[in-house]
Amino acid sequence: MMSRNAQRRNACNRGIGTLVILIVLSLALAGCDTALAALTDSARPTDVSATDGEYETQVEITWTAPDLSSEEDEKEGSSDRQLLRYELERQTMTGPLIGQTHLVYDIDAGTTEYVDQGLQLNQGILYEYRVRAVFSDETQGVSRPDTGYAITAGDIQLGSSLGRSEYVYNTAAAHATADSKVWFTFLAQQGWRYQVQAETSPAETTGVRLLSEKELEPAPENISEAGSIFTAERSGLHYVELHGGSGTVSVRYLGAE
Amino acid sequence: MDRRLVLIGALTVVTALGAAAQTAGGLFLAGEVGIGIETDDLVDGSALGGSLGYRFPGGLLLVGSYLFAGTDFYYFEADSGWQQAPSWSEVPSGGSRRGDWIFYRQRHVVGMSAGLSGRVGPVGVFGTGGLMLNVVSLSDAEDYYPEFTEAAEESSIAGGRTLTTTTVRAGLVYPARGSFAGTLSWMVNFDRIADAATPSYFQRNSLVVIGVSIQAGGGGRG
Repeated sequence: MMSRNAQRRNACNRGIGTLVILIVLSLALAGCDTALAALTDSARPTDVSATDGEYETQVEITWTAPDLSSEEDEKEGSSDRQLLRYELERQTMTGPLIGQTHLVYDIDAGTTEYVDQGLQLNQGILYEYRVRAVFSDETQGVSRPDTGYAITAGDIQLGSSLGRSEYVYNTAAAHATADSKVWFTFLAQQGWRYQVQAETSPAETTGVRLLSEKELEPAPENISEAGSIFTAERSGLHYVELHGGSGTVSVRYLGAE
Repeated sequence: MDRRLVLIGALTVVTALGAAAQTAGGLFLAGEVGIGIETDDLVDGSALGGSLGYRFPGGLLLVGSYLFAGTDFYYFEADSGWQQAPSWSEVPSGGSRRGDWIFYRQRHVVGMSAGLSGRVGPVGVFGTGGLMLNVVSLSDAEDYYPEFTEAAEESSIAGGRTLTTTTVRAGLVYPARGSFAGTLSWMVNFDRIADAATPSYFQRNSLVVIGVSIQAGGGGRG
């Protein structure tokens, strides 16, 4: 049978052991917290905005510089740190190179915009942009992302009958992209029905899609084949994307359901 | 501080402002709401805007004004084609909110007029005449829906986007000598003189305008 002193020693040892574990856990958590703070710095570029189809061969990205005079930074005694430069990260969200990341180093700390040029062969590809601020104390602040894309799209004038609206297209034309796509754009009214008609050649290799403007992804009311009638779920610009071959495309409206 | 000194100081400031407001010349600004007697092509049931004017010695007035004269909504039906709705509530919008509706036109009135002003006791009176440029602007849908554009232009002023008309206006200002004053006036916008003999011509082309003016240049209104 264990003596009372031995019981006391065991209890004491258990207490010390628990204390040591708690201290180690606290230090580990504090270390993680510091590391996490360095990764997710409170001072980061904000209001990142990338253009959505406003230019044919480029995307313009703008942002607001990180606020280094924030209360949190001053508390940490880091108000004297300097912004060294920006880095821009571009991730491909659609197309054959989906997931590919491109990094632009060394954007001057005094600027808050960058023009991503040379996208003539990558029109209609959706990109996600993040801006990273690099500071003199080796910390970084990464912005929230925004999507953008470049595109060449001709306006379509719609008619109440298909005969009033007919546009010739040719995916082999000079303005078509490397993967043989062309786009037309039109303004849709929420709740209205539209019919996209495409006379294509050769029929087996051509297709038509309806894309929403902001995300350049198939609109919720996406059409899978030419001639189908869809109802616009929101008001705003829509793209008709045609791939392969050549022919004519027209869009007519039928009004509210 | 002695209350009497404060009172004397306040009275001196008020008197000085009053004296300043009685000087002959002056720039004034006015915010105005126009209420149509009867809706017509130029001005809807109501209009909102303002005036910027100058009163020369002798009571001569020169006034530039702008009124936002309303929004008209259009819709399409397979049976009847494009129609102008009497009001937003009568648009078969299918649940779309007003801000999401892409088929509309807006009316603007920009004017320049000259006239005379005077005072009858504490009340100022004025009368002006001049030219009004009536402008219709279509929504972005005009780039994509040519049939909507045709319909909106056909039913608009003189079948186009702009129309120059003559206008006369007469009104009252109270108080006539204040730096701030209320205004009440009657404005007739003569759109098509050939229609002047029609019974409702004046009702259709008249606006009652209520406004608040501020003397910005130190002169009095009269």
